[in-house]
Amino acid sequence: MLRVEALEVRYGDTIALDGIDLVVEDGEVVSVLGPSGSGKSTLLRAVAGLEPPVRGRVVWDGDDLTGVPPHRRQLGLMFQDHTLFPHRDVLGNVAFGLRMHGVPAAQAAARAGELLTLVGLAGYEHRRVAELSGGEQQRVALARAIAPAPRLLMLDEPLGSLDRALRERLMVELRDLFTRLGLTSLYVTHDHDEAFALADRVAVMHDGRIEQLGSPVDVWEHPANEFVARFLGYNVTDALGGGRVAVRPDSLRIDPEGPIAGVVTARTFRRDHFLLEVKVADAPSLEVAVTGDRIPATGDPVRLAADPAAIVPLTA
Amino acid sequence: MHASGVHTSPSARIDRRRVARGLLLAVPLAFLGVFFVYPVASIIGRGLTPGGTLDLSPLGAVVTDPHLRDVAWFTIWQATVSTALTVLVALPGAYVFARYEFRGERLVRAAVLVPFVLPTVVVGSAFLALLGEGGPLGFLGLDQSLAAILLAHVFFNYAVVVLIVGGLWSHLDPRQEDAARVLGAGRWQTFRAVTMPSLRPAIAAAAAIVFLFTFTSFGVILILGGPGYSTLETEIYRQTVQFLDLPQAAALSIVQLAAVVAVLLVAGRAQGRRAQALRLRASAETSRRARTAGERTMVGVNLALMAVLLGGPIAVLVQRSFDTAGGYGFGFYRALSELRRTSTVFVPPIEAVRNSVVFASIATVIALVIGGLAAFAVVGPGRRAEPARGLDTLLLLPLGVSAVTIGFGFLIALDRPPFDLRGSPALIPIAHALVAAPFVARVMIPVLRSIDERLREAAAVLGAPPGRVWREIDLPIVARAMLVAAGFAFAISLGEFGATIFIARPDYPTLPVVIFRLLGQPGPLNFGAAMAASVILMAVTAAAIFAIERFRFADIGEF
Repeated sequence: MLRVEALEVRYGDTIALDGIDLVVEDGEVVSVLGPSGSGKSTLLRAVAGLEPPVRGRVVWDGDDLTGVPPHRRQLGLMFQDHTLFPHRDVLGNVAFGLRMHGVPAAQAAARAGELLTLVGLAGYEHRRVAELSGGEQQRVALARAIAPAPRLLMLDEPLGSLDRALRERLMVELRDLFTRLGLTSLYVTHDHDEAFALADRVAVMHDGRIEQLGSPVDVWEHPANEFVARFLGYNVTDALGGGRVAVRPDSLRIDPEGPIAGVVTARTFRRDHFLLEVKVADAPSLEVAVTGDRIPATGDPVRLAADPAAIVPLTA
Repeated sequence: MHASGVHTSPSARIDRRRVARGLLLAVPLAFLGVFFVYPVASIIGRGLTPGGTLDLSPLGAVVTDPHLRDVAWFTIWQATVSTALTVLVALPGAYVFARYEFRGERLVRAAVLVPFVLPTVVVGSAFLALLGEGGPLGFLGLDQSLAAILLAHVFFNYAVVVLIVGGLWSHLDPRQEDAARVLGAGRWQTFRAVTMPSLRPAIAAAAAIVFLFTFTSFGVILILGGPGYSTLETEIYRQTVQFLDLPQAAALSIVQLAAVVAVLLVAGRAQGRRAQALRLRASAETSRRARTAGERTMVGVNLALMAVLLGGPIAVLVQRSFDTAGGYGFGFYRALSELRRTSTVFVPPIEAVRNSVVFASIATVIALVIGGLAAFAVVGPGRRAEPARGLDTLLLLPLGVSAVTIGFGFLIALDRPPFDLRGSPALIPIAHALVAAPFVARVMIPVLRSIDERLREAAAVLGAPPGRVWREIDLPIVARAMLVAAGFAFAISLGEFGATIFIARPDYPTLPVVIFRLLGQPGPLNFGAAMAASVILMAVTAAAIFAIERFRFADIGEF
């Protein structure tokens, strides 16, 4: 079990992590979700021992790892952009961690072969890493990270540089792999689809702090504050009455009897719906997801109504 | 609660890194201190206080003495004209290499680099063979003329411009030129408004290096200029060897040093401006086959120019080394082992081949150790290691300071306690290593800098302790660069002449010294033997360089 206690990391005067508390139970996948610059990569680096903290502790099963150098932590980290060793072939990359742990070469090669099969790259042993496609590099990086059987596998935007279709396929594969191997994981991403699809729990980060921690359903349905709501794509508005609330674009609908009057200022086609931007008097515009065959055009006046059950009140 | 306790480990780790860097630095610093700073300081001392007290008359003589004033003036303007000519002649060549693909491009590329790494003595011999008495262009009467010197300088430095300017040019996005053309700019306008501004920093850098090389040119001028043309370098040599006026030689060295430092500073500023944002692309994407008749002519004319300018002198050198009085044969080569000892060389010339190879091997090892340690220290361990700028400059100084200054400094500084190495053969490889080590560092530093810190972090997270990270990541990645550097160092040592001529004793001459001595002896046999020795030296150097080209040094080096 990983326990992060009041962890603080600074780059000069900038506070990258501002007192992070987080627990990852054995076999659990926790996703750290946040925009770029929120400190999520720094969190992984600090847990791995690559960033010295100013304050706080990193603890594994009661052992304080804070002063332990990275190579003795027995944690795995899969870097953004994979960072494969360019001077080694695929096998050399995957077997690296095993060799560092004193596994004899033949045994390490055999184990690396098994892992390559696991990630769907059987027969790639002697390819040069520069010849691999983005998706293949990602798989090699994954095999390399799990080869020494780390106690905790950390992944930093592992699917970030891949195209959409590949990302969605690999998301399913990763989920499957986590379950099959019973991996304990900390998974960093800026994409909420990825976080919700893969994680048992989601931690939303902002400015070096965890804004909300909970199950994907919980976070998605009950954003804890304005930042989380906006980050997940909610409208944050005072126009519905009853103070500041968050409401998703698909919880608003066009209704001639609706209480909110506005004018359509933009219309965007989004595969299964249209997304309208509606200017409301004296308030910021609202985004409204509309389906059906009567879609208002830009400039049309509309009235809106909200599904009362989907309105999330925000405190401060 | 311990969670709030402030950790001391980060600063302790940084201290350890400082210590590690200090240890890495100690060896190169000690080496530079004894064999570079101390001799240079001795020169300055000897030049300013010839009789033990401050006396500025030798220094003043450089301005007041009409002969020395002419020497200083000639040094500057021949370097300026040589530089302008080289850039003018080589710029179209750089363009052709950057923008066009043609059959045999790799081979031509390698061949163009050969003159640059040829020993200056061989360049001198080759032009003497071409332009001198009995040469195919002997009727032009260019022997011992300014034209011969300038031609040799263009021959020698053509590759510098092609490497530096062509290197940048091949990475410039040609679509920017396309954009300008679509916006209505003509070819010439496009070149001036779009291409030229991007190239300017590279041209300035190349010009600065060519200027430095020609300003400190020694062997070429000694051999081709005859007694009529003298630069600061050759004058230092003459004052030392012919007139035994060490204070005057030291004063000239001071002037030379000051000028070189000034040029380096100007070049440094030009280099700094190089750091502008350019859209760079892989060179493979920016070159293509010549398509129109005009383009084919452009490529053809430049290749022909390279063949004549660069290939001509070498071809004539080889031809004349076989062209004995009794027809073509190996007579001159046999003469190398048969020639009698002279007053200046005590051994048959052929022994110099062995001397040169032995010295070059030792010099290569020393240069790799010194330059390699310095490179690792300059780049420093860890991502946040502050770049050691001052050290970088100190390392490059021996590169700029002329070989003659180094040789002269050895002569006057290392002949008495505390460093009494007078007449020791060890001085030769040490001097060569001093010249080569900055090259080694220069080749390795960019490669070390280019290693993504996250590769080291990935290795650490996978369980590699710091020493193992260095062995598994840094060393293998930099190994290729080290091989390239070794080849460079070997070639530099083989051809080194300016420093060696001061410290080589007649019983263990190097090949360049023997060639120079043979050229100074009368008679066609000595001349022919000089040609033969030059061909041997060229062949050994070329072997080292072609070994390097297999590691494609054009893609690695940055100088």
